[in-house]
Amino acid sequence: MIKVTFVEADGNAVVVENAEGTVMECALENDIEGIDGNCGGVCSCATCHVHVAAEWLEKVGEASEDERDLLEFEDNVTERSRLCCQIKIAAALDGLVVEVPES
Amino acid sequence: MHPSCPYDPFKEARTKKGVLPARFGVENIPMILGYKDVRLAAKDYKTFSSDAPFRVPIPSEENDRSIRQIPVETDPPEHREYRKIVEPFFNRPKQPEYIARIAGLVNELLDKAAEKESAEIVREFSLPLQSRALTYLLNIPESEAELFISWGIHVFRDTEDGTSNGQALEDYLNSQLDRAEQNPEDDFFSMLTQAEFQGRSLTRDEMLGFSNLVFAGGRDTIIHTVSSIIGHVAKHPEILQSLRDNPKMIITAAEEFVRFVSPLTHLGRTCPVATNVQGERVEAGERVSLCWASANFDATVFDAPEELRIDRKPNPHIGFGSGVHNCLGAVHARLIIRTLLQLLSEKFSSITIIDSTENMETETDYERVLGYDDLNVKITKI
Repeated sequence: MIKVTFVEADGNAVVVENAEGTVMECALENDIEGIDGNCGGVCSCATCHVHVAAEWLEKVGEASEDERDLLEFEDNVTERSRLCCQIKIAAALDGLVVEVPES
Repeated sequence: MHPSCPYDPFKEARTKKGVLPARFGVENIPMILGYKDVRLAAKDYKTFSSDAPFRVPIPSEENDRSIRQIPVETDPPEHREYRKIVEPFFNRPKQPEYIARIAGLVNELLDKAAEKESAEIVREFSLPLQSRALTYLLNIPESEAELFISWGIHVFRDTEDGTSNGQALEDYLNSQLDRAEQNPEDDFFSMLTQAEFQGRSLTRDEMLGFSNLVFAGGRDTIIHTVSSIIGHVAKHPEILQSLRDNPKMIITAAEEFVRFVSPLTHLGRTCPVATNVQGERVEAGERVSLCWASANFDATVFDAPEELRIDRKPNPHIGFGSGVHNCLGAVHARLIIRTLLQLLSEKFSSITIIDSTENMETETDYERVLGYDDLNVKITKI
């Protein structure tokens, strides 16, 4: 059982207790506001943009070049930005917190 | 010109120069071809502006319509406010009942095609599919699709003598907006009559601009993509088996078909001041093209771009455009494509092409395959 917390743009926190797949898939299954995942996770649409909580940055790791190229065109991009379709849920990420930026 | 890949006639120019100076009617328009260059130009709206009525499509559409399409022919910050008005409507294809309705439609049309010894796919499958699905998107009675079907594949240019159909469309949109103003319901036109922009109601021209785009933008694009998918699956029967074995691959396959077909070759941007585009001088008021179709075959981004790989991932294609103007109808289009792939793989063992004529987009300086003029197939149930 891996836990992931989504903090929606209005501050509402949604805790998912049995996260699996990618963080984007987990967000869609739990109707997280502001994460659309339109392209289904192939890194084409940038509709699953999140900010990774600072304390999780190292464990989540850096974006690939493809992902960085997409993020470059998004609003509200910070050094904590990731496309969450590219974050695979794993035991090491138990407790992960991501924030959904204002769209 | 005999390009090695008929879907990518831009390879040589892209690799050598990154730009193709091309002629469209009386206009010289340098086409930006490289993936990163296209994306950068799409982002830089100050240098490459969309604020140019009739001049985002190439060739331009002064003779096809009398009003500016919105939001596509505007720049930020107005663009964002305009787009916000219609975005909720274009997200309706995520609702379960909408998804079920599209599945019912695709299922019905596939069953009808499978009953025939020879089923014509472009005008007897893809066109009614697109037209009837459009009534779902607009939330208007499905019977309206009969009229849309009569307009043909391209909303402005599918007449026998090559003249424009644009007036018929504008007359229709005006009649719908008149009706919506008198008897508002839960449809797209009624939403427009009730919308607010910068603290006022939309003008009739703005309502027409939104409506015109919905009809023009998602028509030949969806029709060519659907026909191309059926043609390609017929030539590569292993695709149906792969999708049956691994239904999750429907998602990646759908994106790959959008990349590979690239149903909208390019869009134009106008340079407000003289600009140098990779060595080509563009005078103030002249245009460049952002060539999505070329960018989607850029080998610096996509391994073996000429190969259609249904499991390609990542696949950062820009078949739905790039930047703030990315395709408003993409949620609807993706639903149609995914549903088609799902039902094709669940129900049919093979598709055999009986005869076909590819549609060629022929311009002075390039020619590319884009769907079919006609495609006759035999569809065999499992």
